[in-house]
Parts: sequence; structure tokens; C-alpha cells
Amino acid sequence: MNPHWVDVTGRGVISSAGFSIADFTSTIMSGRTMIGDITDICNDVRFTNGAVIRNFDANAHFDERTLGNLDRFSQFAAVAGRQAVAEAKLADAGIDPARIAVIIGTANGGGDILEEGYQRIYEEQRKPRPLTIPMSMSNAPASRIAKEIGARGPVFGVSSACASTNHAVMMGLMMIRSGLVDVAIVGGTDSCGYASYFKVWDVLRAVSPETCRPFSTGRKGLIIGEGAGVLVLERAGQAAARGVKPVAHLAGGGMSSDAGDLIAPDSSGMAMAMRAAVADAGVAPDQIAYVNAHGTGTVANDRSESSAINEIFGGNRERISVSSTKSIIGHAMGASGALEAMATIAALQTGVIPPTVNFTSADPECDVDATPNEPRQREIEMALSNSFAFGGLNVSLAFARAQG
Amino acid sequence: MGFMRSEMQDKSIEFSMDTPLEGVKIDSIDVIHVIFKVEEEYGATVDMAPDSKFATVGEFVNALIDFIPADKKVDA
Repeated sequence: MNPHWVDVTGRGVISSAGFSIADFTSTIMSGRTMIGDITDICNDVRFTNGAVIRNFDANAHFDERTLGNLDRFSQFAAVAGRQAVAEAKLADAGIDPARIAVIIGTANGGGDILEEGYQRIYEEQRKPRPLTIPMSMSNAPASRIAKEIGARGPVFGVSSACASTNHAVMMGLMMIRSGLVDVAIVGGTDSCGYASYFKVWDVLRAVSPETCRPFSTGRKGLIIGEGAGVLVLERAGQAAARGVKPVAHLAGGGMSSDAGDLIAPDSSGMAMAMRAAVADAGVAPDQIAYVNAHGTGTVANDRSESSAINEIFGGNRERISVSSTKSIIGHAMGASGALEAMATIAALQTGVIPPTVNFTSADPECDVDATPNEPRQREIEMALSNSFAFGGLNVSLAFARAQG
Repeated sequence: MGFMRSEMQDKSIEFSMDTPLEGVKIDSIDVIHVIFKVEEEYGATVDMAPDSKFATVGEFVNALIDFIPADKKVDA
């Protein structure tokens, strides 16, 4: 195995597709979309659907006092973090707390508590809740996870819109490779199911008035999702001493900036990130068999991403599978990379490519095999997971099937 | 005193005005919540930094009472 690779030893997820890796994987692989009606939350925007989390019981996970100090995005991350730490058997593993990093991405920060605060200030003429600042800060999820596990090393939040998770993962990867830490707990979280969030997206005109159809004809935009995903990264082979096998390897990653348009995608920037990820993993492009695409379902993103994929992988539709799980779980913003990393790892583990659902017919401008509507049996060794953010920020992660 | 008890992490701890503040195990977040409750309940403006140092529960409580308007102090 390439000495540059690190092990993924733990995973956790809170999503509209389930609150465990098993449930999430089952839903993703079945292609059962979680996109549904959101008009009970907001009914005066141009769209009526989202992929919001409906039945997360925070009281089952936190005592009343703790819950009063944690905004929803931190709750998601903390619970996903507990799952990841449990799978990695990190508790009592004897890792020096100063050599454990926690880096969690978020696009929005604590939007729920800010929304409540503005409502109190401007509608109710009251003071905001006293902990609005520490609850809404973008590092709150990382700080919460660090507190729960006693991590005393580098702990911070990363915010780069929809690439937040992948940037956080890159930070963890680099810290382990450099020898700065032994364990990096990385991921992303965002809570998006509140009215003002739907309204600000509405005015941007990027949300589909019906559903999410990545790479398909008739696609009309993204669908807002939410959730959290957390990965435990550690030096290759380190976990074997406590009887833990990696679930996958994080082989490498690539980052790029468009240095151009704030919201319009740039195919060259996407290609730069993917090319860098493949090179960083130390493999040839033809060793990549699957791309879990950013695949938002907007006309521009999917066209640009298809072009970039074909630039890197030679336009060989037969050789490389592509899919967008956003058609199932929506666009979870800063958490999207985390949920899609889980889907990518699941594909490596199970030999099944998750489908792009809601697909009607192939768009000639998206010349990729988008795995339309049905999962596909395919044993793969390596895959990319793409995240491309407003602001022209692109990160592609390369995962490999666990060896040994 | 009641506000303090409601914010304490360990509500089984017995305390009086003479109890050292560190003995009731309240952290900076709890202090902010107590101050906020006093402001909401008594219409007070508590001009106190959350990291203010007090030796005992009594010192903290009396410092808060100082900020409560005179016509509402009887309730406190």
C-alpha cells in the first residue's frame, strides 16, 4: 500500500437517509429518494421540496442542560462523531489526547439559533438567547466533539461553503501525513431545514421547483438537504494494535480555486482538483472506477463536471461510473462531502454503485455514465468524491478499498 | 439562589451563601444563564463580565442583587 495513504477506521452519519451507516447505506443503495414536501416549514418560495431530517430525537442523545447549549448542527455532528469513535474503538485506545485533531466543516454555522435570535430581537422585541454566539460559531461542532472525547490537539472549524467537509478532510489527511497527529476526526455538518434558509436560496434561483435530477435532461436545480458525517482518520496500520481494521483508505486529495466567478462553476477548476487528487493518491487515472459527483442537478454544474470528468478520465463511459447521491439525500451544503464520502466508501465496500435517481434521459452535454435510476453491481478499487463550492473552491478526495 | 440551582450541572449539591463558588460546579456558561435569567425576571441590566471572580455563592448573588431595580428587590 502507498505509504502516503491513511486509514479510515470510523464513520458516523446523521442524514435524511438514516441515523446510522447501515441505514444510510441501505437507503442510498436502494435509490429511495428522501426528497419530500417542505411546505409546512416554508410555503412562500418557488419550491416545495427538500430533504430535511424529520425525526431526529435530540433528547435521546443529550441531557436537557447540554441540549440548551447546542444548536442543531452541533447536535448532528456530535451524534455522528460518537458513531465514528465507536466504530474506530477509539475510547480507551490510549491515544495521546494532544495528538488527536478534530476538524469539522460547516457552510452555515448555527443558523437555527440565529434565526431564533432575529425573531426574538425584531418580532418579539426581546433579547436573543444568552449563548447565541457560542452556539452559532462555526467551530461549535468541532469543540463539542473534542469535549466529548477529550481531544486536546488541533481542533477547529472549516468553512468553505459546499466544500467545507472536503477541506476539513484534507486538513486531517495532511496532519496525519506530516506526523502532527495520530488521529484526525474530520467531517462536516449543516442544519438547513428552517424558513429563512429556504428563502435565501429561493432568491438565488438555484433550487429546483420539483426534484433533483443530476446529469439528466429536464434538471432544474438542486434540492436542499442537511445532516452530518464524521470520519476517523489515522496513520495506516495504527488501529491494528487494538483489533480495528480500516473500512477504507483515504488515498489522497486535491484542492483548487477558480479565482473567477463567485457562483458559476468552472470546469477547469474541477479538473484541476480531480487531477491533483489522482496524483496525490499516487495512482493513474485509469485506476479510478467511480466518481461520486458533486452533481447538484443544476444545468451548469453537471455540464461542467461532466466535461471535467471526461478531461481527466478520457471520456471512456464504459470504464468509469459516475453518480450523484444528491438525487437521494439532497444537497447537505457543508455536510455534503461527508455524506458523499460515506456513499463512496459504501460503494468500495459493497461493490455496488449507488444510483442517480429521478433520471429521465441522458443529456448530450453530460456525456458520462450517471448510473441512472438503478444501482449497479461493480467491484471497484478506487473512487473519487467531489465537492465544488460557491466561491470557486474545489476539492476532490480519493478513496481506496480497504486492503488486507 | 433558585436560578443558580436551576443552572447547576449537579443539582444534588447542597449549598448556602457561604459555600465557595467553585464548590457548586458552575461553569462560564452557567453564569451567563444565571445573569440572563436575572435580567429577564427582574428587568435588570446586569453589567457583569461572565469571568468575574467571586469567592462564595453569597458574593455572586449579592453582586447580582445590586443590579436589580429597587422596586423589584423585595421579590429577589
